[in-house]
Amino acid sequence: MKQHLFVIIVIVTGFSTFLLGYSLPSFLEVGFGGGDSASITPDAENEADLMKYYEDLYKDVEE
Amino acid sequence: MEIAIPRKNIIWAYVIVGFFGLVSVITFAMHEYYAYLSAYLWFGFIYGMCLQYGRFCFASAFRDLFAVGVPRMVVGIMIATLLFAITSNLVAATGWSTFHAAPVSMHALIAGLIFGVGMVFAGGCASGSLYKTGEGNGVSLLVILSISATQALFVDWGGVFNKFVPASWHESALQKGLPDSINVGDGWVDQYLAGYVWNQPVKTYAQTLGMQDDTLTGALLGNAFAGVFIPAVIILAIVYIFWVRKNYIKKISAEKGGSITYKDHLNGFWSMIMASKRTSIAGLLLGIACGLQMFVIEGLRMKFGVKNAGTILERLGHDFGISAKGTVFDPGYWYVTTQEAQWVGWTLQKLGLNNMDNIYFGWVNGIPNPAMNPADWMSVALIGGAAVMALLHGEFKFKAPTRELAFWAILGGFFMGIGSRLALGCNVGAFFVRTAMGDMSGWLFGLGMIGGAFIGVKIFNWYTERKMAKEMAGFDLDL
Repeated sequence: MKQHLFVIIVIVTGFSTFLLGYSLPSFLEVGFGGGDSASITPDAENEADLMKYYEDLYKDVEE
Repeated sequence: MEIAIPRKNIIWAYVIVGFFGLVSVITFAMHEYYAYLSAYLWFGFIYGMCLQYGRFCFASAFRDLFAVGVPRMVVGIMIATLLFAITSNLVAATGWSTFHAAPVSMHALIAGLIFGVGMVFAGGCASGSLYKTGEGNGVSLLVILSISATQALFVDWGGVFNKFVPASWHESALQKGLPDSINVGDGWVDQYLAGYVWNQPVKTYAQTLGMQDDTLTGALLGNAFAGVFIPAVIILAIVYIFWVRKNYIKKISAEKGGSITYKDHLNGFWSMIMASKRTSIAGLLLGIACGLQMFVIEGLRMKFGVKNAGTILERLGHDFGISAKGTVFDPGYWYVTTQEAQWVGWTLQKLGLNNMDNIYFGWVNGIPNPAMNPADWMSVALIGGAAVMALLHGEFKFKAPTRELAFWAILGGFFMGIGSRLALGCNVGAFFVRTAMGDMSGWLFGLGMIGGAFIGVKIFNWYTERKMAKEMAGFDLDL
């Protein structure tokens, strides 16, 4: 039983570690400990633009 | 001695892990955005494994304490909260935490009270019911269904319930400037949220002590030490004094005789803590996993240039059920009840009921397709993780509910659903995570939940004694 549990833990750790590694470059770009002061990647939409986009979406639905 | 596990259990455990693995690999091959959903999936799976290992159930904990005087699980949960606080506040200190504190007022206490009664009736809290469902428990599945349906219906209740809304709530709600698609003047929960809850202050212990949440001193000294360590030690001391001390004194007196010293009591206190090792270890692992999930989700948000999963779903062409401000429920850490409400909300919407005109679904959380809902991926995987642990420990067994247990499950789930929506979370979202992160509303909900559990145990005991008395009377007559 312990051997099977170990194998499953390895699989789960493998997927989790991949995801951690996949998200890590973003932190390296902005620097750890940046927190609120750091901004998201350059291609990210401006929040105001996003809000307008969704407001327009809503208008389309109404029409 | 190791228990022999049937071969079919092992095969099923691998099938479950293999299924989730395939989902992750195939969806990632379709588009890298699915990594965001897979992050929820795998951390959900870990939560499920930890919950089943630690038997992490708040209902069992307080029922054991109040009904039979066994404090082990309550102690374990307190230790787990403390360990979770240390790891999650370390993440908060880096500034990458996805946690947001909730408004603080008496509503959290009242909601906790309702939730506490419900979890005792149901025989499992929100998180406990999830992991027990993974063990094959049909009663727990009914509890989840009841919580889900109650929440989805409760957030849309209007009509006659509008009469119970104070005029000040109604006026305040209308002034919030919500879009026309949100019918904020109709619906008890809408007016409760926009007219009352949103007006309450949002506070953490660190902020109250003049510190910042995202600094090392604020996170560890303000939120973890002042906000969790001190209250947890007080609760543990109360548990020791009222439930452990008497038996411990008896045991020590029998062993060594003479008077009991403070050192003996300290030893007794420590042995009480060490008796809850398994739940405490689960709490530590939950804390580490939760902290890592916050990092991964925040990293993926930066990578994909989004602030919420709603944008990812929209880019993938799944824009059904996205809220009026373009968001879906995307906490970035462990959460239980909102995603349960969402899948029923989505079903009702598909059946023709408009669920997008209320704040809960239409403005904040959305009702995306459950197959594309990140938080639903987490809950399903949580059940899977618990199932794998149960299978590998020989603890998996299908248990169909009896009519009586089904009644209590539905009733308990109903109260938990109401309590969850009033508190904006359950024993995980409104207590465990909030308390650990130094949110002042966490302990308020917790105190209410403990009070509610006490009332629930008393009602349950009264019902059981009455039932037994009836059965015994019938037995006498037959004689």
